Amino acid sequence: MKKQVADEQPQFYTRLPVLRAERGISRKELAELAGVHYQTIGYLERGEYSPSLVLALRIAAALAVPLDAVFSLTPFSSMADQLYNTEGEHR
Amino acid sequence: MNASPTSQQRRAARLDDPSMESLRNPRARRLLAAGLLAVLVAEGVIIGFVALMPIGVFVGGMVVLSIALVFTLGGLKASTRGVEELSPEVLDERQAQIRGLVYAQSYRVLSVVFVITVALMLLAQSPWWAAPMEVMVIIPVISWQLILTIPTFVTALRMKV
Repeated sequence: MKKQVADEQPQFYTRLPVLRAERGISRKELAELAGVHYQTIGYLERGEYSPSLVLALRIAAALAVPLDAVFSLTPFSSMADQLYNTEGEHR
Repeated sequence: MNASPTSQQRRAARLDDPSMESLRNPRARRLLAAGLLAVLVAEGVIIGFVALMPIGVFVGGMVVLSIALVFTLGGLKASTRGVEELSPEVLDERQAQIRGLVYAQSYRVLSVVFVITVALMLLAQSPWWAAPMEVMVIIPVISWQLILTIPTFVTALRMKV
């Protein structure tokens, strides 16, 4: 989970690296689906660039998840925590 | 049916050539920028000493320097993927944003270079500095080339591309 930092203030959080790895697609493939340069995906993943709404929507669509599953203004809880808690609820 | 790529698309593909990846790091960019400045200084020196050398040496030197200029400038543009010169149609939103920042910073640098050029030209014509004719050629020739390459310098040295 990465956060974009400008003037010490986090701007947004992203799960892009996790979601991309989960789907087994390369930065270049995702870049082609989103219509950007592959380098831009790297900057997004490292939290060094804030995407426009259109680009964020395109990325979410390419990953077939809602926008708020990829980008958030508040920190994401870790996938492991979420899975563990969910399993705990089902027991 | 796929439309054939435009000249801008072909240029973008050439400047994004993966074989140039070794140039896309801050150290290589600084070296190329220093090399380009060295070529411009060497041009000034050759023009400055034109009266002291045979015409063949001058022409040969200028040809060599022109080739060096093409290679260093080409390398520098490849190192930045040409975001400073390509049209926004072939850039993505991040690259277009960088292009905007480059032009804003280049405008400020260009203003300074322009003022210095005009000041030097006026000074060279003043009675206090009996500047030789060569100086009146060196100042505009070097300034012009410097002004044309300012966006590339700014991109290579100031931007994360």
